[in-house]
Amino acid sequence: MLGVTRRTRIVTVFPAVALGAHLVLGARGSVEAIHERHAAADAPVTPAYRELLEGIAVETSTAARVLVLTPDASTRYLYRAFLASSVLFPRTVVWGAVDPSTSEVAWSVRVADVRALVASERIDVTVFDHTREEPTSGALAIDKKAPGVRIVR
Amino acid sequence: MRAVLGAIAGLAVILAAGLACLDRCRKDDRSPGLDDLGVAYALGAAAVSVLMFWAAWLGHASPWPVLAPVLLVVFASPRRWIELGRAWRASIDRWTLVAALALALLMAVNVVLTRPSWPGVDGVAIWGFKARVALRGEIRASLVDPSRPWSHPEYPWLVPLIEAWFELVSGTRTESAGRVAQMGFHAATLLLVFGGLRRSVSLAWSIAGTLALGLLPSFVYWSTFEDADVAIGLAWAGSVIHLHRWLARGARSDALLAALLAVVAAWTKREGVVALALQGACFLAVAVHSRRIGPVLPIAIATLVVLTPWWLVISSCDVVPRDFLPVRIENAHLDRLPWIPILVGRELLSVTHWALLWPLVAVALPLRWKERPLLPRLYLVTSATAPLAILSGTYVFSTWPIWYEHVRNSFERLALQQAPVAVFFVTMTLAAPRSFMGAPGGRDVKKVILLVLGVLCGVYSLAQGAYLVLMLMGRAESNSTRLTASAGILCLALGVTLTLFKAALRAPGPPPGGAVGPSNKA
Repeated sequence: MLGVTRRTRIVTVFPAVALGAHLVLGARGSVEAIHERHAAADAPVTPAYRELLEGIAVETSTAARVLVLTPDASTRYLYRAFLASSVLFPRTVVWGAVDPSTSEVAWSVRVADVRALVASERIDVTVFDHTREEPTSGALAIDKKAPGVRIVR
Repeated sequence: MRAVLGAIAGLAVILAAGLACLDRCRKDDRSPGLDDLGVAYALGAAAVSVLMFWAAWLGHASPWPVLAPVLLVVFASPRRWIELGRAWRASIDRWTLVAALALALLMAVNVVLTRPSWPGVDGVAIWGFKARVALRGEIRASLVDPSRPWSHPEYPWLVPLIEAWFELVSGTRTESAGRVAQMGFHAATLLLVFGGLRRSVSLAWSIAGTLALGLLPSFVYWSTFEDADVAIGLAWAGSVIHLHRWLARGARSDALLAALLAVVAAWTKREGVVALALQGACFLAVAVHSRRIGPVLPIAIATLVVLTPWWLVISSCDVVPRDFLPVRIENAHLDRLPWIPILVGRELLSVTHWALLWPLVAVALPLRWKERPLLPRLYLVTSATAPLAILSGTYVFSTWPIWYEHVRNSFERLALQQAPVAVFFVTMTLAAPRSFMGAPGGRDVKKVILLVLGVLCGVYSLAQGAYLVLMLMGRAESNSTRLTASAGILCLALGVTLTLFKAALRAPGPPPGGAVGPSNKA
């Protein structure tokens, strides 16, 4: 009889305790998840960058080929390169970066010489996203200033 | 101002289209509930996206190809809408209204808290980009563009087309319009789970179950990311809930809705094909076993209407999927088999992602096993576990150089797709403790728990054994340490399996003449 009573109690109490514990842990985890989302929001796009892309879309023909150059192939710059592809569609957008880790990202080109890449890819517009071109060697270098653009006509 | 009005109008059109579809399907069942709004959002999103697809495919980018048929349906039978409104008013009691307001508050808090954050890479790279392409009426050109393989051209188009719909009606051309669509999927999932539970369990349990989903950290984290995982979770949960009801009640409309929502899942994301196959297999099994044939012709027509656009997309682009090799036995890395359950188990036990959801599913499995009638229970157990098992198995075809990074990166989102079904299953089980303890055979719960654990250990032993054999055959990388460790783990797993089975056989079974519930004995 005692066993039955204990089991009855377990059966009555277990679901409430289990779900209660789940809700408490879930609420705590949700707060952390929201913090994590906000931390991720620090990064990617500035209004200036979006404006620059929209300017290119207005100024160039839809057949233009665009090269976006970024310091590395991290998620932050991946987002900006993809945004360029999206805003500038149907223009072809090629993404290049100076970082050696670029070779691990299938759709990014590692850039040693900007002028050579522009020639080989028949590029009409180059977007220097926090990068610049070394005047003598033509190599891509990191530059923390605002993004710039060079249009070849 | 135009953006807000546009977003409200966009939502209203999706809901009107969905409610019209629902009304056509529900001829034998007129009891409305809050879950109908969730189902209507999923069906409406599918209808709007299919119309948008054909318009964009033919080079049009105006709201009229969507608005015209929806307005036609709404204004063709105004009396029907008045009748529906009356039925809704009559079905909602005061407490349901309070619960709905609490739900709305939960959703609003979540949306406000996560709104300023970024929409995620997929939000821009895949869905956002495709939305822009659709708005230019250039779907065909984008499919053959070799400079954008990252946009997964071969994926289904529901989510990008819904984002495009909101961009079109709100007049904005940024990914912020897509957030409205995502908030819609998030809210619809909560309403679906609440309403689905409310039809079977008490109001208190329905609210507790919905909170269990609404406060799931992964659900909160991904809810306003512009990914398709919450959207496919909505369609899959809707399909499971309706098929479960069809097995329990036999109403034709439930079978039709289950099939329609499974098709919507396939039009949302590739993983939906697994959902469609599982639902189809279940449908077929029931038809053969109990000679209960569902509405086959409408299901076939709906499948054709919704999935023809995807077939067109796949046949127009020549893209080899990037993350997985083609499913062939020679492409399978079977040596990964023993490690996949470990990685998957570690993710599912992560309290920071899932709180106690998956451990509760594991506890609820044996509790549900012995309940009668068997068919709906068996189906619920299967639908809460089988898709995850199948999807975890696909990692043997992963092309990632470090394949376990692929598991770590993507498995959370795969599990998220199953989370609404898992919450539904757990709540349905926990809400009726006396039914599982008092049912015939309820006393041998301990036996069933031991058997289930034994089967799990047995499966792991088999995987470990296969790995050992592959190493011995030279098909998997091996050295003496790996061989010894693998053999040791295999012996241990076999030992635990045998012990569990032995304990299960020794555990007391039900008394002769069937079990008597604890309440009766007391």
